[in-house]
Amino acid sequence: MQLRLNPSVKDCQIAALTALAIGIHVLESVLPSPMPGIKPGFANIVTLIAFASYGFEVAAWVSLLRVLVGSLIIGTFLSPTFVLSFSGAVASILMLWVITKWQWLNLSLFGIALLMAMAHMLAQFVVVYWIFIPHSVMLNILPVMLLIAMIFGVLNGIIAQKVNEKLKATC
Amino acid sequence: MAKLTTADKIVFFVAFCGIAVLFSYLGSSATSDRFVNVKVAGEDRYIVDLHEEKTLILAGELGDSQLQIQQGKIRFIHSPCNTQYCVRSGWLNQTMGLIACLPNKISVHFSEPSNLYDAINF
Repeated sequence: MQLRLNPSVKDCQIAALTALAIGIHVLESVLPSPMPGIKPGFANIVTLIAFASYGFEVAAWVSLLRVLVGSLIIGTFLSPTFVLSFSGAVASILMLWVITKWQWLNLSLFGIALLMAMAHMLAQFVVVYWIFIPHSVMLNILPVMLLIAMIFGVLNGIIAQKVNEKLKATC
Repeated sequence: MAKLTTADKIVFFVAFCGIAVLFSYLGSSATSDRFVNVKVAGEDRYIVDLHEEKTLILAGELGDSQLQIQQGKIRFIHSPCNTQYCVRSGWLNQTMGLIACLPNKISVHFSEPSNLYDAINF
Protein backbone atom coordinates (compact mmCIF):
# COMPACT_ATOMS: atom_id res chain seq x y z
CA MET A 1 0.00 0.00 0.00
CA GLN A 2 1.41 3.34 -0.97
CA LEU A 3 1.06 6.27 1.36
CA ARG A 4 -0.11 9.28 -0.57
CA LEU A 5 0.20 12.71 0.88
CA ASN A 6 -1.79 15.51 -0.72
CA PRO A 7 -0.33 18.75 0.53
CA SER A 8 -2.46 21.79 0.07
CA VAL A 9 -1.11 25.07 -1.23
CA LYS A 10 -0.88 26.31 2.35
CA ASP A 11 1.14 23.25 3.37
CA CYS A 12 3.66 24.00 0.62
CA GLN A 13 3.88 27.64 1.62
CA ILE A 14 4.49 26.72 5.25
CA ALA A 15 7.04 24.04 4.37
CA ALA A 16 9.07 26.29 2.08
CA LEU A 17 9.12 29.22 4.46
CA THR A 18 9.87 27.02 7.46
CA ALA A 19 12.81 25.44 5.63
CA LEU A 20 14.19 28.91 4.91
CA ALA A 21 13.67 30.00 8.52
CA ILE A 22 15.34 26.86 9.86
CA GLY A 23 18.33 27.40 7.57
CA ILE A 24 18.76 30.96 8.83
CA HIS A 25 18.23 29.85 12.44
CA VAL A 26 20.88 27.13 12.28
CA LEU A 27 23.41 29.36 10.49
CA GLU A 28 22.81 32.10 13.05
CA SER A 29 23.53 29.68 15.91
CA VAL A 30 27.11 29.49 14.65
CA LEU A 31 27.63 33.22 15.29
CA PRO A 32 29.23 34.05 18.65
CA SER A 33 27.01 35.81 21.16
CA PRO A 34 28.28 38.36 23.72
CA MET A 35 25.76 37.16 26.30
CA PRO A 36 23.34 34.24 26.67
CA GLY A 37 20.08 35.14 24.96
CA ILE A 38 21.51 37.84 22.71
CA LYS A 39 20.71 36.86 19.15
CA PRO A 40 19.85 38.96 16.09
CA GLY A 41 16.94 36.59 15.38
CA PHE A 42 17.07 36.98 11.60
CA ALA A 43 14.83 33.93 11.19
CA ASN A 44 11.99 36.13 12.43
CA ILE A 45 12.22 38.06 9.18
CA VAL A 46 10.83 34.96 7.46
CA THR A 47 7.95 34.90 9.99
CA LEU A 48 7.19 38.54 9.21
CA ILE A 49 7.25 37.99 5.46
CA ALA A 50 5.05 34.91 5.91
CA PHE A 51 2.58 37.07 7.81
CA ALA A 52 2.64 39.85 5.21
CA SER A 53 2.24 37.44 2.29
CA TYR A 54 0.05 34.64 3.60
CA GLY A 55 -1.49 35.72 6.90
CA PHE A 56 -1.33 34.90 10.59
CA GLU A 57 -1.83 31.14 10.44
CA VAL A 58 1.09 30.53 8.09
CA ALA A 59 3.32 32.87 10.15
CA ALA A 60 2.42 31.02 13.37
CA TRP A 61 3.20 27.62 11.84
CA VAL A 62 6.49 28.86 10.41
CA SER A 63 7.59 30.35 13.74
CA LEU A 64 6.71 27.41 15.96
CA LEU A 65 7.94 24.76 13.51
CA ARG A 66 11.19 26.65 13.10
CA VAL A 67 11.82 26.61 16.86
CA LEU A 68 10.96 22.91 17.10
CA VAL A 69 12.95 21.65 14.12
CA GLY A 70 15.80 24.10 14.72
CA SER A 71 16.22 22.74 18.26
CA LEU A 72 16.23 19.16 16.93
CA ILE A 73 18.95 20.01 14.42
CA ILE A 74 21.11 21.98 16.85
CA GLY A 75 20.53 19.42 19.59
CA THR A 76 18.87 21.59 22.23
CA PHE A 77 15.41 19.98 22.07
CA LEU A 78 13.68 20.02 25.51
CA SER A 79 16.71 21.74 27.06
CA PRO A 80 16.39 25.07 28.93
CA THR A 81 17.41 26.75 25.65
CA PHE A 82 14.45 25.17 23.91
CA VAL A 83 12.09 26.15 26.73
CA LEU A 84 13.21 29.77 26.39
CA SER A 85 13.03 29.76 22.58
CA PHE A 86 9.61 28.19 22.61
CA SER A 87 8.18 30.53 25.22
CA GLY A 88 9.56 33.50 23.29
CA ALA A 89 8.07 32.20 20.04
CA VAL A 90 4.66 31.59 21.65
CA ALA A 91 4.66 35.10 23.14
CA SER A 92 5.60 36.74 19.84
CA ILE A 93 2.90 34.78 18.01
CA LEU A 94 0.34 35.83 20.63
CA MET A 95 1.44 39.43 20.11
CA LEU A 96 1.00 38.95 16.35
CA TRP A 97 -2.50 37.58 16.96
CA VAL A 98 -3.36 40.66 19.03
CA ILE A 99 -2.02 42.88 16.24
CA THR A 100 -4.22 41.10 13.67
CA LYS A 101 -7.23 41.86 15.87
CA TRP A 102 -6.24 45.54 15.89
CA GLN A 103 -5.92 46.07 12.15
CA TRP A 104 -7.16 49.65 12.56
CA LEU A 105 -3.77 50.52 14.11
CA ASN A 106 -2.24 50.27 10.63
CA LEU A 107 1.14 49.05 11.82
CA SER A 108 3.74 48.30 9.19
CA LEU A 109 6.16 45.37 9.48
CA PHE A 110 8.50 47.71 11.36
CA GLY A 111 6.07 48.20 14.24
CA ILE A 112 4.97 44.56 14.18
CA ALA A 113 8.59 43.37 14.35
CA LEU A 114 9.33 45.71 17.23
CA LEU A 115 6.31 44.57 19.25
CA MET A 116 6.99 40.89 18.54
CA ALA A 117 10.65 41.26 19.57
CA MET A 118 9.72 42.96 22.84
CA ALA A 119 7.09 40.30 23.59
CA HIS A 120 9.64 37.60 22.82
CA MET A 121 12.27 39.01 25.14
CA LEU A 122 9.79 39.77 27.92
CA ALA A 123 8.45 36.22 27.86
CA GLN A 124 11.98 34.80 27.94
CA PHE A 125 12.84 37.03 30.87
CA VAL A 126 9.74 35.94 32.79
CA VAL A 127 10.62 32.27 32.24
CA VAL A 128 14.23 32.82 33.28
CA TYR A 129 13.21 34.76 36.40
CA TRP A 130 10.48 32.31 37.34
CA ILE A 131 12.24 29.01 36.73
CA PHE A 132 15.99 29.32 36.27
CA ILE A 133 17.33 32.34 38.17
CA PRO A 134 14.73 33.56 40.72
CA HIS A 135 17.03 36.27 42.11
CA SER A 136 16.07 39.93 42.27
CA VAL A 137 19.39 40.89 40.70
CA MET A 138 17.97 39.63 37.38
CA LEU A 139 15.71 42.69 37.29
CA ASN A 140 18.80 44.81 36.71
CA ILE A 141 19.39 43.09 33.39
CA LEU A 142 15.80 43.46 32.12
CA PRO A 143 16.20 46.95 30.60
CA VAL A 144 19.42 45.90 28.84
CA MET A 145 17.72 42.84 27.34
CA LEU A 146 14.70 44.88 26.25
CA LEU A 147 16.95 47.51 24.66
CA ILE A 148 18.77 44.84 22.66
CA ALA A 149 15.41 43.28 21.70
CA MET A 150 14.26 46.70 20.51
CA ILE A 151 17.39 47.27 18.41
CA PHE A 152 17.22 43.87 16.72
CA GLY A 153 13.45 44.12 16.37
CA VAL A 154 13.83 47.41 14.53
CA LEU A 155 16.58 45.95 12.32
CA ASN A 156 14.52 42.87 11.44
CA GLY A 157 11.48 45.03 10.78
CA ILE A 158 13.35 47.23 8.35
CA ILE A 159 14.80 44.23 6.51
CA ALA A 160 11.40 42.48 6.40
CA GLN A 161 9.73 45.60 5.05
CA LYS A 162 12.37 46.04 2.33
CA VAL A 163 12.10 42.38 1.30
CA ASN A 164 8.30 42.57 1.32
CA GLU A 165 8.36 45.64 -0.93
CA LYS A 166 10.67 43.85 -3.41
CA LEU A 167 8.45 40.75 -3.34
CA LYS A 168 5.33 42.79 -4.00
CA ALA A 169 7.07 44.62 -6.86
CA THR A 170 8.24 41.45 -8.60
CA CYS A 171 5.16 39.22 -8.08
CA MET B 1 14.64 53.83 4.85
CA ALA B 2 11.33 51.93 5.15
CA LYS B 3 8.06 53.86 5.25
CA LEU B 4 6.85 54.24 8.84
CA THR B 5 3.23 54.77 9.76
CA THR B 6 2.12 56.94 12.68
CA ALA B 7 1.40 53.84 14.72
CA ASP B 8 4.96 52.59 14.15
CA LYS B 9 6.39 55.84 15.45
CA ILE B 10 4.12 55.77 18.51
CA VAL B 11 5.07 52.16 19.28
CA PHE B 12 8.77 52.97 18.93
CA PHE B 13 8.45 56.05 21.15
CA VAL B 14 6.50 54.19 23.85
CA ALA B 15 8.97 51.28 23.82
CA PHE B 16 11.92 53.68 24.06
CA CYS B 17 10.37 55.61 26.96
CA GLY B 18 9.42 52.40 28.75
CA ILE B 19 12.98 51.11 28.56
CA ALA B 20 14.35 54.47 29.73
CA VAL B 21 12.02 54.39 32.73
CA LEU B 22 13.13 50.85 33.56
CA PHE B 23 16.77 51.90 33.39
CA SER B 24 16.22 54.77 35.81
CA TYR B 25 13.90 52.86 38.16
CA LEU B 26 16.03 49.76 38.54
CA GLY B 27 19.14 51.82 39.27
CA SER B 28 17.57 53.09 42.48
CA SER B 29 17.06 51.01 45.62
CA ALA B 30 13.75 49.23 46.11
CA THR B 31 11.76 49.15 49.37
CA SER B 32 13.15 45.72 50.18
CA ASP B 33 16.57 47.35 50.62
CA ARG B 34 15.35 49.57 53.44
CA PHE B 35 16.20 47.53 56.52
CA VAL B 36 19.29 45.50 57.36
CA ASN B 37 19.95 43.00 60.12
CA VAL B 38 23.20 43.32 62.02
CA LYS B 39 24.45 40.13 63.60
CA VAL B 40 27.06 40.13 66.37
CA ALA B 41 28.60 36.76 67.29
CA GLY B 42 25.98 34.94 65.23
CA GLU B 43 22.95 36.51 66.92
CA ASP B 44 20.61 39.04 65.33
CA ARG B 45 21.33 42.09 67.38
CA TYR B 46 20.01 45.14 65.54
CA ILE B 47 17.65 46.08 62.76
CA VAL B 48 18.87 49.26 61.12
CA ASP B 49 16.94 51.64 58.91
CA LEU B 50 19.12 52.64 55.94
CA HIS B 51 17.16 55.83 55.38
CA GLU B 52 18.68 57.39 58.50
CA GLU B 53 22.18 58.57 57.80
CA LYS B 54 24.54 57.84 60.66
CA THR B 55 27.71 56.05 61.75
CA LEU B 56 27.30 52.92 63.86
CA ILE B 57 29.95 51.75 66.28
CA LEU B 58 29.53 48.09 67.21
CA ALA B 59 31.53 46.16 69.75
CA GLY B 60 32.72 42.83 68.41
CA GLU B 61 35.16 40.16 69.54
CA LEU B 62 38.32 42.04 68.58
CA GLY B 63 37.11 45.55 69.17
CA ASP B 64 34.88 48.24 67.71
CA SER B 65 33.77 48.16 64.06
CA GLN B 66 32.42 51.31 62.46
CA LEU B 67 29.64 51.15 59.89
CA GLN B 68 28.56 54.10 57.80
CA ILE B 69 24.99 54.55 56.55
CA GLN B 70 24.66 57.01 53.72
CA GLN B 71 22.14 57.46 50.89
CA GLY B 72 20.34 54.23 51.70
CA LYS B 73 23.51 52.14 51.75
CA ILE B 74 25.71 50.66 54.45
CA ARG B 75 29.40 49.73 54.58
CA PHE B 76 32.22 49.06 56.99
CA ILE B 77 34.56 52.05 57.30
CA HIS B 78 36.75 50.75 60.09
CA SER B 79 37.38 47.41 61.73
CA PRO B 80 40.08 46.05 64.06
CA CYS B 81 40.83 43.02 61.82
CA ASN B 82 44.16 42.55 59.98
CA THR B 83 42.91 41.81 56.46
CA GLN B 84 40.25 44.58 56.22
CA TYR B 85 38.16 42.53 53.74
CA CYS B 86 35.03 43.97 55.34
CA VAL B 87 36.10 47.53 54.57
CA ARG B 88 37.33 46.59 51.08
CA SER B 89 34.06 44.88 50.13
CA GLY B 90 32.40 48.30 50.03
CA TRP B 91 28.69 49.08 50.04
CA LEU B 92 26.25 46.29 50.75
CA ASN B 93 24.09 45.42 47.71
CA GLN B 94 21.72 42.65 46.64
CA THR B 95 24.38 40.94 44.53
CA MET B 96 26.65 40.12 47.45
CA GLY B 97 23.81 39.90 49.97
CA LEU B 98 26.10 40.19 52.96
CA ILE B 99 29.08 42.15 54.29
CA ALA B 100 30.90 40.85 57.32
CA CYS B 101 33.94 41.21 59.49
CA LEU B 102 34.52 37.58 60.37
CA PRO B 103 37.39 38.05 62.85
CA ASN B 104 35.26 40.55 64.71
CA LYS B 105 32.09 38.40 64.25
CA ILE B 106 29.93 41.18 62.88
CA SER B 107 27.79 40.73 59.76
CA VAL B 108 25.17 42.79 57.96
CA HIS B 109 22.53 41.46 55.60
CA PHE B 110 19.21 42.65 54.21
CA SER B 111 16.16 42.03 56.39
CA GLU B 112 13.95 41.02 53.46
CA PRO B 113 14.91 37.46 52.64
CA SER B 114 16.00 36.79 49.07
CA ASN B 115 14.29 34.00 47.19
CA LEU B 116 15.23 30.50 48.26
CA TYR B 117 17.57 29.80 45.35
CA ASP B 118 20.03 32.03 43.56
CA ALA B 119 19.99 29.88 40.46
CA ILE B 120 18.82 26.49 39.32
CA ASN B 121 20.76 24.24 36.97
CA PHE B 122 19.42 21.35 34.95
